[in-house]
Amino acid sequence: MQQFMSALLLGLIGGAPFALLGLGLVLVYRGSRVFNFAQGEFGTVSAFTAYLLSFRLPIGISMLIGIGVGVLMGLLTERLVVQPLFNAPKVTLLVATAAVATGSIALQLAIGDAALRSYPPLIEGNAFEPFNVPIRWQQLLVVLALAGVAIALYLFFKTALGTAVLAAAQEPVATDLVGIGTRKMSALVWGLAGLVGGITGVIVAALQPFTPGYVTSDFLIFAFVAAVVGGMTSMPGAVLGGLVLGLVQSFSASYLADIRWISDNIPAVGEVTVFILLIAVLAFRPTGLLGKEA
Amino acid sequence: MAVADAVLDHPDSAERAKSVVRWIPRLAAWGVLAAFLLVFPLSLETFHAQRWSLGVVFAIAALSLNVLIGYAGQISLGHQGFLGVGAFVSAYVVTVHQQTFWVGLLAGALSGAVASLLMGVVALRVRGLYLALVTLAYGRMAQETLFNLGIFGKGSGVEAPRPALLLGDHAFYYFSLVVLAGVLFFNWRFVRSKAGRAVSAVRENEQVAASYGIPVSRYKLIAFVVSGAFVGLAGTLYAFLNGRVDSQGINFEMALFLVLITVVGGLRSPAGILVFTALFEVLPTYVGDYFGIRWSFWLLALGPALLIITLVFYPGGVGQQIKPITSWMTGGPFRVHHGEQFVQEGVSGRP
Amino acid sequence: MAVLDVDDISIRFGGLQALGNVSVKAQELEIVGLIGPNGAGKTTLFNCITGFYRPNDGRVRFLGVDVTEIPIHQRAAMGMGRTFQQVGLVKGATVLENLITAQHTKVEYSAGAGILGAGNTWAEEKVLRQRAMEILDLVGLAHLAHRRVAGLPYGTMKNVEMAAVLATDPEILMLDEPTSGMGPEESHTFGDVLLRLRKELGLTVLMIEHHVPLVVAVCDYVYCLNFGQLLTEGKPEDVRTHPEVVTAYLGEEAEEVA
Repeated sequence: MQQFMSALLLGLIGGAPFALLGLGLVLVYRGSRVFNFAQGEFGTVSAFTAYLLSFRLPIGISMLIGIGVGVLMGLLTERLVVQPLFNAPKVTLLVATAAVATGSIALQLAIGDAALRSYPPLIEGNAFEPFNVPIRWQQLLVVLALAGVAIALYLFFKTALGTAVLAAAQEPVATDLVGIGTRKMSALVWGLAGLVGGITGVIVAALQPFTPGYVTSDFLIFAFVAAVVGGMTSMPGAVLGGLVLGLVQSFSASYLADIRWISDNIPAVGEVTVFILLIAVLAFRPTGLLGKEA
Repeated sequence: MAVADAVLDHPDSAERAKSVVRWIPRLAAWGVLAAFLLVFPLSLETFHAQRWSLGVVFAIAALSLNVLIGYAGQISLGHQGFLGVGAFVSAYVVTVHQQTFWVGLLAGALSGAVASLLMGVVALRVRGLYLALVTLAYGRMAQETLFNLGIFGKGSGVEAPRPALLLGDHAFYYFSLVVLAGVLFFNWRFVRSKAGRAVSAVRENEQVAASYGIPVSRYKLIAFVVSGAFVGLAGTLYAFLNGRVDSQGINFEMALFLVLITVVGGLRSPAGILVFTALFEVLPTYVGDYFGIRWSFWLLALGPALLIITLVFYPGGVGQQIKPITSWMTGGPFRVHHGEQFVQEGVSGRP
Repeated sequence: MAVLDVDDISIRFGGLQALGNVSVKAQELEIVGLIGPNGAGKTTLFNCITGFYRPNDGRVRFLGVDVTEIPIHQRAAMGMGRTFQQVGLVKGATVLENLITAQHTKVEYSAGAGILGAGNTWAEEKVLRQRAMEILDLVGLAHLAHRRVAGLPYGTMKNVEMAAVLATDPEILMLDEPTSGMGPEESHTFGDVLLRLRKELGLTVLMIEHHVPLVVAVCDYVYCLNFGQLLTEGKPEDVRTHPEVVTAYLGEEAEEVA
């Protein structure tokens, strides 16, 4: 019981960053039909900026500016990479966003170095300890950020503008009817993605010390898997997928790794279950849990 | 048949008599190139000889990726995972099973082919963006789990002792060149034979390929096998170049580096890939030597920018830019071709 | 024995009956025409015959063999050659490369032997090249051998496509609107070429064609489809003047006007 409850709690909390990052991925996919490999870097760059500013400014303001830089990076990516490749195959665009991510990591290395960085947590200490599982305030903040972003996006997509954004990918003509050109719409989507990515970055970077490329290397692949599990086109799906993925990871870490043969022979068994989950979903249920199309 | 004979003989058959004269400057150019690749490295000290070997390893891996992305039109963002399989299996066979290096080389190629074939089976069902994601996830899983398995030393890696013949770093460099030459030969025959043509047809239009009698799935898998065998060879060289292999360097950065040199080098252009790999793998070493390590980070940042510029403005990559040279070197005229994407030829045929 | 015997084929897409109980035969050396207004199901029938679609009911027999269940590429290997409405060619390759690719099933060496550069592959490659040039000569396209397909005009591409299908060495040649994009002059020439090819290569032909004068000039037998049903069949002259055929086409024209 103790083991089960702790795996459950850790899974739900561990899945929150995947869900948060996954929301950004789904946003871009619905708006531009592309897998955005730079989504994680929108986050790391924001965190990196907030870190650098935190020496001179209060941490809250540093984080806000950091998020702003994330938005800027989303807009720049859209203008310099997505627009020029508008008619290219989507896989080409995917490779291009991966290049943006790598370039961003290289720049962080060139400006700083590979050393670990951390900024002070917003709230110190543990929030509570249910079933002897210590839950830090910092972890709870990620969950709160997830809830906040999810609700905000939900409300935004209820508005006329939000509906038009979602229609843009399927019907480029339809957006012209609302009076906003396809190009502005695309910029809006990527700006929003930068915003969501930036919030993700500054919040998860407070969880532990981070290095260049932190959000990409620690969360991006899992966020993608989460989005795919959720159906890639569904925002609630991304949230659900993120939590499912967190649970899959925590339960494999807790139960599978308990089996001696596995812990002796298969390191990081959680990676394997996630990989198998991804293949299984794509092969047998490509529309995911809540997706409407493959 | 008259026209056919003329065309088969090639348009410039009349010039054939002059061919001996035509080839003198070309042979001289080949000689200079050979001397640079074969004689100059003799002057290198150990560290640089190893870097040159590493360049050859990456060139082979990029040629492998070119088979998938260029010829077959399949994306792989986890190619380092296949390189790693070749590296670990060859080292394992030699160290644990006491086999010779040559058996290890064979095992490396075979295991790479098998691992890639398995991904090919997935690729029959999962396409495009989703395949990119699967390969990416595979690469990560390989690095975190596969390469840290119990049989591979649980994270401490596997020894890969070189045979006596290749102990010297210069000897190893020349051997890598021989493997590269072999891969180039197989790549050439692949493109110019049944399999390559079928794979290209499948890439461009599966329905047309099938209506020509080409079994589409089988040739997709063949492309994965060929690519896997190439990168398995590269992996073997990678392991034995370093003398041991662990999961540290075989990461996503390597996967992206391979995509970078393949795409910027030029899809379907082995010459372009070789030239760009030489520039981008070997040059930074010297930059790092002379200007300090931070400059190699800046260079690292330059790579992705080059990739995006290539994707947007020069889809043919370096291969397209050096076409006049490669065309001349292989006996053709020194003529600037137009970019493939923008070819707009008139109605009239050849004179 | 008929070369091609399509027996009572039906296919549904969701609720839509695309083809209902269609039977079509082509005897050896016949040129059979398939006409009907747009959306009548002509290309769907082609796709059922060549294996791109699996019919819900009915059988397709080719050279006396029931091929209903076998995949596209095996039917092609047996000698089913087809063209596509939207030009089926490897457009990034040259004309010659397309014709060599099309000879896939004629290649005797294995894929592996080719990659390893085994001794016998080199000579065979020469033979493939030679044969491709012979076919290009036959259809008068040899001067375009080294041109990339992508840059050629539409009508020329259609001809190249037919040459590529001929390179597969088909028993039956199935043409999907071969003269689309051609003027009356060109399509007349095309008719002559088709008749000559039948004689020289011993071909059976099934073709979808809108050009009525061409159909009358070259076809031995004609089937007319409308709304997925066989409207009528017979000699070209009879079908052309058949009242229902006239109405079907008139209806289409009326719609086009509207």
